[in-house]
Amino acid sequence: MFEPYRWIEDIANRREYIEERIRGGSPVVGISYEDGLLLLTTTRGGRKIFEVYDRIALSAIGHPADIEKLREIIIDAAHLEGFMRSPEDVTLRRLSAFVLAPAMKQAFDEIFRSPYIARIMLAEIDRDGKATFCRIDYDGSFQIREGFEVIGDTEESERAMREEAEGKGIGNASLPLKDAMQEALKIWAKGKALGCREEGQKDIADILSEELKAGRIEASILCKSLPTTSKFQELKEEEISRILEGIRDKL
Amino acid sequence: MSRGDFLELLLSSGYSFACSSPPQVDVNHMASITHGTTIMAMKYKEGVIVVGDRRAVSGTAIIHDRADKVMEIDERSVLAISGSPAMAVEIARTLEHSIKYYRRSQLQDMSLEGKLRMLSRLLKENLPLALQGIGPVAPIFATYDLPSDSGKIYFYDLLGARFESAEFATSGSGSIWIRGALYYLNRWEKPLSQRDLEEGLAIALRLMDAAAEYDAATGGYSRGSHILPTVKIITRDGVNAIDDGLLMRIYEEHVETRDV
Repeated sequence: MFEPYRWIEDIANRREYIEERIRGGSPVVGISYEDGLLLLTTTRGGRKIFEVYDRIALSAIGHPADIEKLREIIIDAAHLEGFMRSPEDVTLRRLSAFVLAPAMKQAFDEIFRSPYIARIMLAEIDRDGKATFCRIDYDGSFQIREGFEVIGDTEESERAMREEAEGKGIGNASLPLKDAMQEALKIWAKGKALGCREEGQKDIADILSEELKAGRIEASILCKSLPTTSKFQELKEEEISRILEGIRDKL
Repeated sequence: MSRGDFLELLLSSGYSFACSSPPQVDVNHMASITHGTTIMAMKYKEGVIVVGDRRAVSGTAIIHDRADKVMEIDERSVLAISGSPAMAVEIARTLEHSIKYYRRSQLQDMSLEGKLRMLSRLLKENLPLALQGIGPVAPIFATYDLPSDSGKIYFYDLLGARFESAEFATSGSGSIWIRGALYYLNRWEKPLSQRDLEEGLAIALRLMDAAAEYDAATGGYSRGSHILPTVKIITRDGVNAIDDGLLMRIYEEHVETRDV
């Protein structure tokens, strides 16, 4: 027997359940730089930043199996559309508003099936390298922004990350890559710090070293000047280490 | 998606690769269908040179004189198409998308064998049209294989059977006129795979000229309209289209001029 008040209660329980499951995940920072955009996070195991299409990438925070399922949905949709119509018609706006958000909302609302325990960030560069981001939450709500975006494990961590970015002109497209990486790491650390349950003010270098004991930094770019049609490139560990060495004292 | 198979995804979404029921066509009235070509691939010192003429004919009418028959498939592979351009372009597009889809969904590159097999499957899908005589495609697939650090040439028949060629391959209505010449050059003069780029391009342009001389469906160099064959090279560093400037120079120095 379907009871409307019961449904509302169930939805509220769902939110609490999902938020609890997402807590503790490593934040993802998306930031534009002079040649495109950078996505940065940390991982303890598998990949978290994926290529979706020629100019579109995806990252997420949440349950790996759910992220995998959503990744499948969006890659399938992008490639079918790109083939049937054309690669230019595959855009972040269409993929987020018409493919991912409805799928995630439907899974969230239907209380007899499991929701997607995930918070997604899609990122795209246009022909001029201008960066657009879309965050899509587990309940299907989505928001499109230009230049800069974050997803965090809690509302507080996201607020802290946005505050860190404010007033610095983050999202300004003329940063060289290593500067963008530096800013992204600072913002990431702010978000991660709130996830640390321990007391005391920790500085970025400490937070980073602790995270790197169990995992590694994962960073990828969408770079407009790559010669291939696909503009996605995963930054190699040596490259990340090299950039990290150069900026460690500035963190 | 767990198998990363793009063709499967296409077909399950309701897309019909060839016509769902092949039309009953009287091949004597094939005039309205576009065909006719010379395409060629030959090894050279650094990799592979792939050439295609620019003409598309239908019966005795020249439909188009700037067709591009050498299509880039991925970073180090091209597909040269002969036969029906409609199906050939569809096959090239599907192959290109399949390779990208596989890499993105499976998080690893498709092997060379996988790509070759994929092309066979697509030609097999095209079988009904090919047998009807209205959509035959006999392509040449050329690639630079990094593991063996060498260029590779494969040619296919209409039914999707694949043959690897050691040194060269040619296909299309004009190919019969130049196949013997390629064999002669490679066998009794300096082997193709030892020639440098300029020598290779000179041979390629001379042979395209010869094909155009004997095959009405093959377009030759048209000085007035400045139409040159499409020439692409594949090396360790990737695919590069040879620009018209260099082709013009080779043409003037080696095609319009004799060696002796």
